Amino acid sequence: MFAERAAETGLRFTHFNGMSGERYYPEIMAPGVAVFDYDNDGDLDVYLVQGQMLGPKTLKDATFPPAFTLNDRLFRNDLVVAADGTRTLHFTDVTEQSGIDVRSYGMGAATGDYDNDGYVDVYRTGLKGSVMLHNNGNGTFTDVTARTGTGNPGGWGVPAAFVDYDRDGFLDLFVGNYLLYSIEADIDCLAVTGVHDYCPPNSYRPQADRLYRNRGDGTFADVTRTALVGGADGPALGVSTADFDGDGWPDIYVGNDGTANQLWINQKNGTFTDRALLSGVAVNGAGNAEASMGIDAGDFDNDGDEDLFITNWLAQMNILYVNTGGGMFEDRKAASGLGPPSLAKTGFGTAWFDYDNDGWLDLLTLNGSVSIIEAQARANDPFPLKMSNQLYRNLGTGRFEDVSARAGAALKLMDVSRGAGFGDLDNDGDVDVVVGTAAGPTRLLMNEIGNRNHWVGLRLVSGRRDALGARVGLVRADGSTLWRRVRADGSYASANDPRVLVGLGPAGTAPASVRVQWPDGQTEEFPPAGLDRWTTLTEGQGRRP
Amino acid sequence: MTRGIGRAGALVALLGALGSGVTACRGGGAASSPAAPSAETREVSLPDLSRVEASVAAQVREKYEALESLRKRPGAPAADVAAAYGGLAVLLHAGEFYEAAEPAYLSAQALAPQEPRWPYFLSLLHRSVGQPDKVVADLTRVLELRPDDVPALVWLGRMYLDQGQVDKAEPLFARAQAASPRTVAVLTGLGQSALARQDYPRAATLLEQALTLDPGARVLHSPLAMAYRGLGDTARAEAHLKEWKNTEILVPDPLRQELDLALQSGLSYEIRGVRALEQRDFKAAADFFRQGVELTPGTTMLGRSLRHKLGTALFLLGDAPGAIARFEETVTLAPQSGLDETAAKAHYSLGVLMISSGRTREAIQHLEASVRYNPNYVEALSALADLDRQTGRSAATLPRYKAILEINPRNTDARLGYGMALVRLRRYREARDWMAEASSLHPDHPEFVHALARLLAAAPDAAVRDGARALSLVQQLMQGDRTTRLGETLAMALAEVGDHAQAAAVQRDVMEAARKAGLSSDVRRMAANLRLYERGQACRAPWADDEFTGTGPAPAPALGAASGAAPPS
Repeated sequence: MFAERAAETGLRFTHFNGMSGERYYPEIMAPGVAVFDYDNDGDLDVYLVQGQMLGPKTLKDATFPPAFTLNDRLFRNDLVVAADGTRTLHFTDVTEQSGIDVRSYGMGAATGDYDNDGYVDVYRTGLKGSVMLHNNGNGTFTDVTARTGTGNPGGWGVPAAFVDYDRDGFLDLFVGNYLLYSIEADIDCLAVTGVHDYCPPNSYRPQADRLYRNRGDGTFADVTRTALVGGADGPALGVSTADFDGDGWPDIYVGNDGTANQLWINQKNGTFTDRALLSGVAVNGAGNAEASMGIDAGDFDNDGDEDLFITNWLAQMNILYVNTGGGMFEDRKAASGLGPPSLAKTGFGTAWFDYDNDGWLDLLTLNGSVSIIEAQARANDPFPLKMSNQLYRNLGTGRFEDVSARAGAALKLMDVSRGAGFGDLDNDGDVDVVVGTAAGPTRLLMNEIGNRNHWVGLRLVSGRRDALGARVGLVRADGSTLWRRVRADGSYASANDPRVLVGLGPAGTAPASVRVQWPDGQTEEFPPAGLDRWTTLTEGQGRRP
Repeated sequence: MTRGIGRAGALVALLGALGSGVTACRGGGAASSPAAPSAETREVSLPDLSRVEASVAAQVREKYEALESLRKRPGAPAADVAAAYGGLAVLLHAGEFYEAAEPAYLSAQALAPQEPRWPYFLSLLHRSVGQPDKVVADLTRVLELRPDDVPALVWLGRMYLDQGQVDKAEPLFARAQAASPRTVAVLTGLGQSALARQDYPRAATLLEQALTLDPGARVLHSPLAMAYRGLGDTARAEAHLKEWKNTEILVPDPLRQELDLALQSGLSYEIRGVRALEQRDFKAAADFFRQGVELTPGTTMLGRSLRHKLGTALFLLGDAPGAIARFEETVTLAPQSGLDETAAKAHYSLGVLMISSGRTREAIQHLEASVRYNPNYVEALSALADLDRQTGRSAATLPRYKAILEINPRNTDARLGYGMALVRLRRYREARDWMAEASSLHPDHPEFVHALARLLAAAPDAAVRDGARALSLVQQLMQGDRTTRLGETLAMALAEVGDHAQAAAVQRDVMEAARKAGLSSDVRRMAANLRLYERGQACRAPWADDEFTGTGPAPAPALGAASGAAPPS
């Protein structure tokens, strides 16, 4: 189903986590990745986040001494599609010519065109503050962190999401912060036997998240205090923005590592209220807070609302919160079959995506431990946290099947997987995955089966940019509607393809019509989209119902 | 409006200082030592013991050698060999050497198939490594051998619930209930089974019963709230969610306890000590920490953490000198500069103890040292701000509260403290604006609205006062808890709008309520305002001086008779 093709396509990158035997906490938390079309040539490029040496030691003391420069990298997708439809995927490292020179300890990335100039910008989170990279539209980027006021000073930012929460047409920015941590105050954590191990998150205090409002003039205001009313801080590792209560306004769901998650419901007046507990998404069904890592929202049961899937720590099961309407959820990890297979894994990146284009959203979880695995340590692995990833097929009945064993060699790789960006990198009509691995090589999981079924690919544009937060409904011949969301957020510390790819199954026919709910509240209908190809829908060019 | 740390506060603060510590419970490295397998037993390889604590390595080797010696002895009884395998397995399991422990357990089980301990321990191991199918098989075996084993029934029920098999889970919980009808974990399992079936009335009944048995099981407020939500009773659901806390529903489990007690290492003693503290068994906690201290040098962070925790346990046992000695030892052993969590906590604990014994200057020194070792130590910053406030150094409190708000913008105590410091500094306009903003930031904290109402009713600065608005705010607050302090504010607002007679009537009711509660100093203060109202004057001191500098929150009894003084519409 999937084949790993990073090296052969030129996506050669090895993450450096700065470890030197001290077991500093940040070693196990990065990296995220971003897939986005920075040069507007219609294919997805890749931004990869790099680490730095941690602590007072020098690079020569590193467990994995790097043979490369320690800065984030931008890879341009030079996809070639021949006349016969043959595709040749190749990535070129364009970091130097892009002007990107980010050399701090990175965690993840979010993407969005914050100034509506038609070019996607990058917000890169890190161990000590964040960096905003403005896309100049000519293949180069400029560090505008100070000018935009989005530096998240002192923050250990992990996930971030662009979201137009006030519906003023400009993308605002949510930054999830993890822990109050510094190398200088690093705590020595031990296993019960006295062996040095990585710390659990409750060794440190959680750090407050931040919400930045886009003023529309290229600057942002930190509105955290006034906008996120009430609620407690948690160590954030995942964020997903969607209209969870169906009122037409985007809400923000934040997954915290070991404390209650938050569901910030948009009050439509510039403020949010945390309703996670009553909504049933703060804790699991037994009432316990879990170690939430990656998150995604999607309509897996095709009933028209956004459900939530969250990856968790080993011995806690991944969790599925099914939206029962009006923003109320039920924990259905057990009934869905998603829980038990995840017990032996610690999950990070994840997304709802229809890998086989059968019309039902499936799941991939990218796994990697956060504590030493005895057998690997015994085999003298210096970073013994490796796990294989898992693919779950949506059976369309509310249940899922773990199909990892038959998903190909790519799903058998043992890595310390963290972030993952999902998108159709070769534009062939199925979703591929770029995976960031801690202290390991970037993986490119190419989907080899999705386009055996029919599909519709849509890019939704509002003004000059992707309409993040828009919902698109494909009205099928039988009258049923498949709803999908335009999103770049979700997963773990990563940015996804904002385009929408909808599988239609083997006998799929073109949808009877396409309905779009734009982020500004407008609804439009478009004529049937073409089957098995990508189409762009622009706000204002449809028909108002 | 005042906060401080008395002796009870010191207890809470010391427990708070335990907070997160040097705890992580996973992992290990390995090498192997061959053991000759027999027909029934499996090869047991010892993990790499070169990096583990010496005490742990010695324990493991001792058990291993005992097993080897028994295995070599001709005619050794199978039960004895099984026990030796099991003993080694328990130790390896406790050390989280799961791969090494499993074959030892399996060998014990093979040699003593009628012994339920081994499949039970195996179920714990398989649960830890996320192998649910094996857990089910293990527990099923336990129940074949011991059908009424409550821990096995509960854990197997939970496993089935996790797998969505309510039909299999519920009868197990029912069997457990028959054997142990008043066990919270059993009622919880039954309640969660009902919830999974969407039988909300039954779920609510069972979970309410569980909470009645153990009100400390606050985690249950969440599933209970979901039951009430399912019943359409959102108000009751929300009320329960306010009580929710992330606690654990413990299964009474002697074998689990045996496992917990198997290993002798610094961290295992620390974990046991913390658990004992949580159960308020201070003597046991002190014993555990003391054993940990004996094994762990103070030059390590764990060693200092154990000494600090031992100090806390001693204090809770009433041995303040012993506690101080341990805290001072921790401080002495810590690095003299840089950041260090154990030093921060030990200095904080010393600071709290100095406060409780009135040694303010030393308290400040310790608290400042605590903040130097950990600039994000909110409790230490907060205690410093409290001391500044109590000693009348209001200006000094402002940067402290600011620092706390920088760390956590949602800290309501610091936000209130900052506003009250502005009042104390007679910066009334800023205080009004601060309280107004705080009211909107924290609508669930009425103390901000209350403070704002007081300022609007009685601030000396005429530009700040707005009697009508003050009255409106107080009326809004009167929908909630009516306290004597709120009654005083009502009287202030009434006087400010010129209704002195009503103000005096309310004030008299408030005084009566305070008198009944034995708050004579409050009554004296209230009498001064009453005289103002009786003379047709308004109050111009929103808070008396002693309200700023008190050492603890003044009790504010319900208004009682005063509540009959309905505010004018």
